[in-house]
Amino acid sequence: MDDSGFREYVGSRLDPLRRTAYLMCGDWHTADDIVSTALLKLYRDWRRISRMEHLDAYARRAVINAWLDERRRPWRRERSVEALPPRAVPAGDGAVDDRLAVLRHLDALPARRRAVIVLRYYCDLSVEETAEVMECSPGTVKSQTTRALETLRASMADVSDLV
Amino acid sequence: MGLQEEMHSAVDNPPAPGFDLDQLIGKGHRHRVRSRVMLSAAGFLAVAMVIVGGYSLSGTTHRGGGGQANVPAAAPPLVVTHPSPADTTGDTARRLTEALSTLPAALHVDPSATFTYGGKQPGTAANDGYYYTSWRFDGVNVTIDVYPLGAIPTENGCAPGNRGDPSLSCDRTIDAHGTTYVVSNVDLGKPDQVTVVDAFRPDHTYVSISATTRGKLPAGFTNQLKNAAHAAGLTMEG
Repeated sequence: MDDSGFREYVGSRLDPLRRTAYLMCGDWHTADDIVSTALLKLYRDWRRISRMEHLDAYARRAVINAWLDERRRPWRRERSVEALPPRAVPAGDGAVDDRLAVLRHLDALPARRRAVIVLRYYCDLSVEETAEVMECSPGTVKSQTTRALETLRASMADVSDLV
Repeated sequence: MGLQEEMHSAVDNPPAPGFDLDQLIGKGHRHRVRSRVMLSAAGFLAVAMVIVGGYSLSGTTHRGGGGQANVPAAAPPLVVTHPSPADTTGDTARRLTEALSTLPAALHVDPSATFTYGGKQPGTAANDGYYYTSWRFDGVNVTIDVYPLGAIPTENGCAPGNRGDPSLSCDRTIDAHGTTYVVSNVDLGKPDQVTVVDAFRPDHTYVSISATTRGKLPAGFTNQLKNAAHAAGLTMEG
């Protein structure tokens, strides 16, 4: 099979897909695992998928599903390490703290609500587009968004700037 | 800073991807080929079981009915054998790794390449998992998977109804080495060349070797892959 179409698509979309996956999981290594799993799925059916009208939505859905599958794996529940991780040191300008803060707040959300927030406010998708990616109704997206924002408002300091 | 800005800020300056697209595509190729061949094998076994079941049922009916025409008694059931589970996965991996040194020099086996236990296949005995290894040379990714095999599938995986990707050539050889498939796009002058050799061997072993590259595979590489797939050391027996 000529892979040029697939390579071209991955070349143009890899970066946003990795960033989306990172916002889901908060770790670049896991994000790469998620994206490679999603891309493998795309590649296996590329002949059919490449003709889809909403190819980006399908790719995002593959990433979301790979992330949800990853969350279900038993070894994610507990991880033993040989040594305790080093304590975080605050950065001088606070930029790193801000990055970690938003990830920490997102981490407090259930997986599907976190996905909805990332799709709506990072990928800038509409309610309908988000519903298509999440394979649910627009009403569900609205309710998940509302509840997720309530949780975030409760935990994030600057309420007025939230969205 | 609002939520949108914070999220965009959080993904600034991402590190380089931690996976290789060539390897991912090679894995996808292997999955396609393996799915097709294994589906053929599963289809053959399913048909065989239906035939065996049919004979068995008709034999019982005729015996019970009396005075019927002469019909065969129940055919012997298909026996799917597996290698002895006495061997541990670690021992098998070590034995297969040692066999890498016997493969053709043209494959440029990386001295650090080792076989890894890839896990059990659903519905099989504890040690019935597969083993895999891979390495890269001159832009060529080579991957070897070794599986335990019950019986060599007799259905032709290259037959029109069984072929998955028409853009790949499909060649099937039956000889003393068992049944060997070569699936490739090398002769079609395509970029991003790929060749997969699947050997279903009489020693209850299925060896799948794939080579992928963004350019052209070395001349005569297919024969070297076939020789490697037939290497005596890459066996699940022993």
